This record gives sequence, C-alpha cells and structure tokens, in this order.
Amino acid sequence: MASRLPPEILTLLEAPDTVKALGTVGPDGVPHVTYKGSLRADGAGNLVFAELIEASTTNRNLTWSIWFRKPVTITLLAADRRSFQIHGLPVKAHVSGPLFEKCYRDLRARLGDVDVSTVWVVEPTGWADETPAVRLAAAERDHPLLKHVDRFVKTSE
Amino acid sequence: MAVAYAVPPEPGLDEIIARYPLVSPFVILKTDVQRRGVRYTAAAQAAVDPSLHQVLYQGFSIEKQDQNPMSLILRDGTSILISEGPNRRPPYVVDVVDGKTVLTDQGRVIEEVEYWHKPAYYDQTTTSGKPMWTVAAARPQRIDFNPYQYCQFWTNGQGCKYCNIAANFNQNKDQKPAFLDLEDIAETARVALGQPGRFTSVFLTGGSLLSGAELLDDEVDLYIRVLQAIGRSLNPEKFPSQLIATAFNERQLARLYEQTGLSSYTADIEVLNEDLFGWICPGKAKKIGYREWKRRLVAAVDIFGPGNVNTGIVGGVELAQPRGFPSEADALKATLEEAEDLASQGVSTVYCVWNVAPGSVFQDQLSPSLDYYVQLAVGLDALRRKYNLSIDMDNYRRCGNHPDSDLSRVWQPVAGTL
Repeated sequence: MASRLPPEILTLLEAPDTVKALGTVGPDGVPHVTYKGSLRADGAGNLVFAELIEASTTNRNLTWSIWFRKPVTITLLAADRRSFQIHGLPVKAHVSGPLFEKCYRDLRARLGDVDVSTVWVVEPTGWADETPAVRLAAAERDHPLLKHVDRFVKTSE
Repeated sequence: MAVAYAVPPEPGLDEIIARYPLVSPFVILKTDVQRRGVRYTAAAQAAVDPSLHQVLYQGFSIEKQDQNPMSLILRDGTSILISEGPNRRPPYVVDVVDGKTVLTDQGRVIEEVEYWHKPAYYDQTTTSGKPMWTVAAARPQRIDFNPYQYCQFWTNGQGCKYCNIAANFNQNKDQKPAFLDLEDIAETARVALGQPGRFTSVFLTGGSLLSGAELLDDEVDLYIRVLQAIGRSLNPEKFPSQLIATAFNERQLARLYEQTGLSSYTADIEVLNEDLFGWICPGKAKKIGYREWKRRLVAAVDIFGPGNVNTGIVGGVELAQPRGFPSEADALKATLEEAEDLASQGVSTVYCVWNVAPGSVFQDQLSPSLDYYVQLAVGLDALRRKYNLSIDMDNYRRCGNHPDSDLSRVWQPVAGTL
C-alpha cells in the first residue's frame, strides 16, 4: 500500500548533499546496494531515478522486483547525520517515451557521453527514521532490558 | 452480438501464472495477449492522441493506417506487438478504467498499459516527398527498414505457409513499391537516428531475393547498399544493428560483415524440424535446405562473433496440422533439442508467438496453449543460460517480440560482475 512521505524526507531528497543508497535483491537473494544521486520524488509521491546501465545488477534486480512485487529499500543520509529508510515497490520502468527521453537528455547534458537504460519509479510503502540519535533514544525507551549491566553499576558511593 | 469462439477449454492466464511462479507474469501476459489479440473500446480509442502515439505502420508484413494504437507497452517495459485481426480465441479488451488505460479480460482489469509513442521523424517527409513513416517503421526502441517488401519464394508459390507477405504486398501494391528508395532510407535514417534516447537498434529485414550471380547475391547486395546508406549518418564502424535475412553462405556473410556497420545477424529457420521445414517452408527447403540453413547459422558465428547470431522460429507452427507434431509435449521436446544443438554451437534461438495470419495458407489453424508458450520461453532462456549466450542483440527493448528473450533480462552471461 502506498505511503506518503513526510516533508522532512521530501526536503532531504532535494538536498544536493544527501547520500541516497538503493538496496535491491534479485533471484539469487544476494543484497545489492548502490548510490543513486538522481533519485527524487515526483509530483505523485513516488520516487524516480535513472539507471544508466542496462546490464547492471541493480537493473536486473529492479526488473525482478517489478515482476514479482519484491520490495526495495532506499536509505538517505543527510549532511547533519539524519538518516531515513524508505521501503517501496518498483511500479514502472520507463524505457522509452517522453519522460525517458527528457531524462536521457538531462543526464547527458549533466554527465557527458553516458547512456541511460531505464527511468524507474518506486512507490513508497513505508519509511522509518534511522538517525542514530533517534534510534538510540527509541531503544533506551522501548527496550530497557536490552542493556549491559555494567551500565547500571554505581560509579560513586 | 456474442461471438462463439471454437477452441477447446484451456487453462487461463491466472492458472498459468500460478503454475509458473518464477516466470514473469508480465511476460506470460504479453504472450497471451499476442496469442489472443486485442480489441479497443471507444474509451480506449478516445485515449489515443495521434500527435503523440504511433498509429501508422507500413512494413512488409503489416499495413496499418487506422487510428488505433500501433501496439502496447507494459509497466515493466515489456512490449506487446498486438494483433487486431480475426482470432479463434476471445481477445483481450483495452479499456479506460479510473482514468488509466488497461488490459481487461471479461470485464476484469488485468494490467495497466501504455500506447507506443510516435518518433519525431514520423511527421516528416523525405526530399522526394515520401512520408518518412512509410520508409521506416518504429518500435519503442528500434527503427525498422524493410528494403524489399515482397518475397521471391512466393513467385512460385513456395512461400512459408504461415506467412502473409505476398497477400499483404498484393493488397497494397498500388501504394507500396517492391523496393524502398535508397536515398529515402538514408535521409530517414539521418533524421530518425538523431532523436536523443529514442533508438537502441537499427533493424533491417525483408523478403528473400533469390536472384544474383549466386543464389541470394542480390539480397546481400541490397542489404550492403542499405547498411552503407544508413551508416553514412553514424560514426563508428559497427553500430547496434540487426539483420534478419535469408541464410547466406560464408562468402556472403563475410561481405556483409566487412563492408557494413552491421553488428548482428539472424536467419530465421522458422521451425526446428527438418520434415516440417520441408512442409511449412518449401521454398527455403528446396533452395537451401534445413541442414544447410543450420550450418550457415553456425558459420555466421565465426564471422559475427558469439552472441551476435541467432535464429527465429514461429513458435507453435510446429503443431500445425495435419503434419505437425501430434502433441505439445512432443513439439516442445523436439524443438528444444534442436535449439540446444544450435546453442551448443553459439547460435541462440528466439521465438515469436504464432499469429495465425489472415491470408496465409495456415489461416484456419489454431495456435497452441499458453502453457506451451511459457514452457517454450523458459526452455529457450534456459539454453542461453546453460551455454552462456548473450541475447543483447535481440533483447526485450530491441525486437520486443520474443517472450524468451524478455525472460533473459534478469541474468547476465558474464559471471562476476557486480
């Protein structure tokens, strides 16, 4: 089921210094992570990015995902260490048509003599705040027993 | 008025998708749509924008000038070359539901589809005054030239029995020259290939030309001239291209390779059985022969390189009656055994779904079950995996008419690349 991303994530997606990593799995079950600088949100709330290489593992895995509704993950890391993970399903592979050709022209204008295989569209199905400080605070709050006992030892009489 | 479809009961799409959980449901759907054909509702026709979508097509085997879409593309990028002709099975229906263009079956929405987009050159005219869409047709990522629009096997009634090239040519010969003009081709190629991101392959095919000093020399000469004319617009010596032609001998293949930018070669053997080849393709059998056809395919690998030679079959025609295989199991076993013989020597086999064409000798036949086509696709893809054969030359975004090479999207022949 589609999940609308909060404004904080949408802002991070637009920030030029945000690191964006895409995690996929293919038929062999081996996780594969690559960085997708072109990843953006579109007007419909989906995530859109270009895959340059037709024969890449990412492209094969995304094809596998769209065929069999296997989820992918996108991890964002901001310059200030905020981090979010987005789960989603590939729902569209543009390999031709106006959107593809626009992306093709834009990327070649920006990157030089490169090819473009596919413009992928991923529909978010959920997201989580993975910022270390937020995760640590949540762990302290929600799992008070999952700690080493030395942390409870009195340091002074 | 309800139409009665005279076919025996067979498992439907859902049952076949459930039966093959590791086979792409998009590819299974594509196969079934090709097998059963489509029709468009009024809403689906109203969704066509001829300024944006491709509706016109003139080739050696297809003539289309109505305003319906040329074909469809699925969400995963899988192309469907559809037929609107008569079919003994009930067609899928393209409709608009909740603002989306969809394939439906008996009122149930099956999957979202898009119409093919028209390339920019389609609206342009050559210096000689020909609309460029009559010089070259397009698929989503491939430009098609059919330099010779007839087939000389039909001159003596020896054409292939599933083929409607002669019928198509004779119905349209007032508007359709047998040969395309070379300058029209060169000019259309120059305009079309410059559209950024539009085409990944230049494709040539046409009917067989038997004449020449040696059998087929005129066909070879024609393709050399056409490829050189197209090549004038392109930088590298070799460019992404495919020729489907008659099976040429080594001398002819070497000329093609050395004198043009052609990068891959296909000679369609049509049916992988010697007896059926003789019955279904009598002209090819008489002039070249089944074993010699196979031998020439293997010889082409030495010239074009491994992964750059394949052959096509009309999937299912091996079951045509009365001389075809008596059962789908027999047909599948025999076809895959022959395909493996070729694969082991570097030649890939791809299939097209047999579209029982009006005007062909076989026009009253019935194509096989969806289950058969899925097993054939899986079997041919498995052979490529076993023999490490790339199908880049004829993959999903080039021809787009081979369910088996659609399945090859999710693996790569070269191990160890991350």
